[in-house]
Amino acid sequence: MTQTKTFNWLLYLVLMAAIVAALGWDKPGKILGLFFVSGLAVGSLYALGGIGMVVLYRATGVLNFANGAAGAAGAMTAWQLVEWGLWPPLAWLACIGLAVAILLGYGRLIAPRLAWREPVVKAVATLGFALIILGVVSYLWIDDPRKLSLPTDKIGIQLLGLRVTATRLIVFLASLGIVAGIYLYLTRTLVGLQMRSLANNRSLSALIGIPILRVETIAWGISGVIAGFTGLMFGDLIRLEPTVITFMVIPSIAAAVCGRLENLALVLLGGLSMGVIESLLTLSPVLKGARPIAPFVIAAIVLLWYQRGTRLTFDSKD
Amino acid sequence: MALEIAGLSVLADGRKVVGDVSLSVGPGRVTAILGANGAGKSELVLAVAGMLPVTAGAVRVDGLDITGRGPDAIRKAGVAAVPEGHRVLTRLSVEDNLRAAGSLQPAGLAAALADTYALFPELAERRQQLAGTLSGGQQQMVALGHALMARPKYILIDEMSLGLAPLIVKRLMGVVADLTARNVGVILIEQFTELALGIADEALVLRNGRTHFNGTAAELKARPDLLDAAYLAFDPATAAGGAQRTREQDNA
Amino acid sequence: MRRLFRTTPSGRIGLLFALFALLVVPSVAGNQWLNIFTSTACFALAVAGVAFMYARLGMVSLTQVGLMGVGGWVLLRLNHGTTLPFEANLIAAGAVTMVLGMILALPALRLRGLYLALVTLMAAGGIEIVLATFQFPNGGAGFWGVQTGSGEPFRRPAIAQTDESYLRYTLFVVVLGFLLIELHRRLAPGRAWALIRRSEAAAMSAGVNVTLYKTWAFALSGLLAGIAGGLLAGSLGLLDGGTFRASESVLVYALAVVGGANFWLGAVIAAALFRILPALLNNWGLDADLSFVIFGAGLLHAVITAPNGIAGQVMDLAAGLRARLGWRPAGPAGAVAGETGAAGEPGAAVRRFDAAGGLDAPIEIRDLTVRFGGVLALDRVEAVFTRPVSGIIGPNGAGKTTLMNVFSGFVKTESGSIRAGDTDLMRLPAHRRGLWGLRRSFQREEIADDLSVGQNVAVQLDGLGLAPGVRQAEVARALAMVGLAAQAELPAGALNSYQRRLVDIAKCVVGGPKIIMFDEPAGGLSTEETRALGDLILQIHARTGAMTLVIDHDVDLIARICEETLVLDFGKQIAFGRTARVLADPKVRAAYLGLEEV
Repeated sequence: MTQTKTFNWLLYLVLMAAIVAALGWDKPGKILGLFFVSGLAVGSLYALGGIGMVVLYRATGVLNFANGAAGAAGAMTAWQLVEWGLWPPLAWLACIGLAVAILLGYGRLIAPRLAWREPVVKAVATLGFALIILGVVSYLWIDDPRKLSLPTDKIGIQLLGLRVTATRLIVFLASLGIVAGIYLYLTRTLVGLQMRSLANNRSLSALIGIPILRVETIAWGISGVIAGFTGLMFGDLIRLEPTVITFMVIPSIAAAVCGRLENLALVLLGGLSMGVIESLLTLSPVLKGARPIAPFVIAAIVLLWYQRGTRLTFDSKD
Repeated sequence: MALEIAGLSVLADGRKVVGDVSLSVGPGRVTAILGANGAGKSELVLAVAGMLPVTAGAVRVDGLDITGRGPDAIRKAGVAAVPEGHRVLTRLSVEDNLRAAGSLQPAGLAAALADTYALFPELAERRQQLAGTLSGGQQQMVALGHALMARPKYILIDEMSLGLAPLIVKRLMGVVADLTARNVGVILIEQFTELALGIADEALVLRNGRTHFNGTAAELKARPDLLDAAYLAFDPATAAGGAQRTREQDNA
Repeated sequence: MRRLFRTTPSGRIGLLFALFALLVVPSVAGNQWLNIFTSTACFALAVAGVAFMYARLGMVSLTQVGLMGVGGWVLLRLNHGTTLPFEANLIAAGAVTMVLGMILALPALRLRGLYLALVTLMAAGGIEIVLATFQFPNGGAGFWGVQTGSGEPFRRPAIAQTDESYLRYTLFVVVLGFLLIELHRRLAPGRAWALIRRSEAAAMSAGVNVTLYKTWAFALSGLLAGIAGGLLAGSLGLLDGGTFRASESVLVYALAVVGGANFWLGAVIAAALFRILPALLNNWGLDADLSFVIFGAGLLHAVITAPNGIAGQVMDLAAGLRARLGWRPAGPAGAVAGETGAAGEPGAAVRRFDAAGGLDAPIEIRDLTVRFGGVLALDRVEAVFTRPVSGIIGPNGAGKTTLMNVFSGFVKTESGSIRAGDTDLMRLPAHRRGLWGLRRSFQREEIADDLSVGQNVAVQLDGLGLAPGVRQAEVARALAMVGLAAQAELPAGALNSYQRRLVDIAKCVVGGPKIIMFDEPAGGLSTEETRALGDLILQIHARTGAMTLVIDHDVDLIARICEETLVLDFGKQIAFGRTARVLADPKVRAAYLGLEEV
């Protein structure tokens, strides 16, 4: 068991090194470093999205396609509030608050009506919700180049001879922090214990008296906070456009798949690797066009790798 | 003061699996439910625990009606069920299993945990072990522990000895005796009739989801033919009566 | 054959719609609308491919628009690069995506549910990559020497040069595609799919080659996507990167559910929502983004309350209207009245089925051991069943169902063999055993509610290569034997629980079974029903020649119908022999009543 684990890690390291080497062989170290750092930042966003989804999925059984849409709604609102002259920190809080409100609303009003349906049906329903949010947000903020900037964009920090903006650093640290925080929450608190119990066996948890509705509400809230934060950062670092932020959910799912919708550390690693590879692809004139799809390919390969030998199944449905 | 089940009917998979069953158990007493596989015993337990819909009848605990409440509310009211098949949260440690079950009443958690460990020292030794890696007997102890963490006044145990070694079964029967000594009322479902009747005060025999016998355990022990009819031999009288009843049920 | 050409209400409305579009629309619509209708028709075909996968097999495929892109690309390239006729290029486009579909089926053989959906989504992304690297859609060095995207006009089919005639052409092809799906639905693949969706285990034991039919479904869906994409490319004459986006696959799937995956009409509604609604919104001066809100709300509505989508609701409305107008419903009630007299019981006398059925040899179980992890589920079981009806009994967890699963080939054995006549069952793969003549029922009836009673039974015969007439006669005879002749055309979902049990029995006796195994046939039945069921089982050998094994907890039933009985307890064989003697055995009584060992 441990032997295969070590082998898997080695394989991963060798592959990553090979990809980095292949893409950045003839580039100066500094350029490579810059792209690497920007990739880590983007990857952190993917990972954050994935982590929010996995936390929710484990506790409630819902793979939430509306994660990105909630973040998009939050980010656009924050931009609007700043435009109207609101004190920016309040606008950022409003962004997170709105995302939480949107997801909590779904979690309390719609999700319970689908509680005993198959995972696919639950996921499809959130897709409908995502479309509604996306439609409303796109209607309210018609296509127009916008910019959401945080004060941290202007603060640069010298790291190993590279200038890194504080926003990127914050995003990266936040992804690490959130993984650690959620790990502690799950292992150290009673509600966290109840979440793990639900993730392990839903019907038995109900039988032994876990208050399912309450625990699920908390899970929706947590995923809302992460979605809002991710949306805000995505709006700042990449693009402030509802459709783009909404469909960030797809690389997030890819990251979540890397962790088998279960292991947060692997989700983080998967997200970061995707971000880095995607960013380094920009250096290659041939593969440049394939950049946006890199997460798909990586996730598909990872999925097929997991699948080798055994069956991947959901719960006891099979 | 009793857990009363009155005229309970239960629907599972669109089929009436329990029809018009009544029984009660007082504090410190044991009622055994017997019957062949598929007689509706497990469904009865799940329905009382709030996991299956009740179509008719009522469940009252010390006079409080808990029919149709959620499983957590039923636990809080003092009724805990142990489902068939020593089910545990396999990927959680023994301690986390017990703590999760006790999380409904955080105030008394530490005390309940100490109590459960006192009853099952085997579990105290393995508190950090993943429950999925325990033996069947140990898992059954965790499953019983799940129920005990809620400090129940009444406990329903489904197929306690199923698939367990005789030594473990004796051990668990001792635990049941301990529970009654603490004034907990026990509803015991067993496939080893001798074992169940040895400890039970009252007994109920189910056949095809309906009451076949309801009386004292001593009475049933004295009339093995009743049990034989429920499990094995062909009994024309009851068969005809049963058909009569099911007709009525279909018409209803 | 008659059944093959019968139209359904949905089909009729679909045909009317197509006719309307074919005749009226092209003559009155403006240029912009002509193109919108053409693309609507193309998407209707693509949606139909997704919809039947979802409705018939319960599989979510999120690759459809990606496959359309491939189809469009292939057609465009061939059209520019060769002088082949348009039709040939269209077929080539369909063939390429069909192969891609089959490749996509590979993960589907292992993955189910959410993971399958995710894999197909990833595949859609992968297709975008490939197209991007192959310089899709324009530029590059061209194809077979001809520059793509050059000024050279796009060749449309000779009979469809104008936009108007091209719309007619497209509609014609789309209708052909719909008919192709409908044909599948009514023949063997449709029955196989319905059973696979219900339960793969049941499908395999019915002799259905699950791998083949799953791959087939993906291939068909891919074919339709490719042709739809090709047609769309032909309409536009030029594709740009925005024509086929991976993310739109998700939308197409969502709309298939909104429209109603079970009906043709649903696909048309979905395509109309996808293409016509945004255009209408634009015309009314509204933002086309609002259509997302409508899609989303429709999807939520469909998922939560309307499993058959808009089309389902339209059908219900139409049915209600017909009822109010006093028209005879074309539903099941009429069918029953029509069929009752037809299927008499000519074969009521004792006779065997024509197909090479029956088993005139004992079933020999030798040294059978099965281990799950460390637990011995079956421990060196040895029994030779020589009588027509034999029983297997034992307490919970005794290994009875495991033994049955060994027969079916669902469980790996550690040692041992099962021989019947000169056949070693263990050497046959699971679905071959079904074809060989091993039949079984499951504890929960594995009956597809969306097939008729007759079709449910006919599934068993699909792999045998019987002539249609013979097959129909066999099905009718089996249904007559269990007393369901009158219900042959009813949807199985309309039966009560006892009738469903009878369908299970008909499925087991149809054709030429050699061994029939019933897993708790009397579970949940009343005493009277159990008695009738027992009588039915007793007739099986005389009528079909098959050996029957019955697992049940109802010892009355076993005692009455089984001449020999095997008793298992904790995987060990504790008794085997004549039933009366076995039931009197103190060891058996101990195992059952939980008395101390004697």
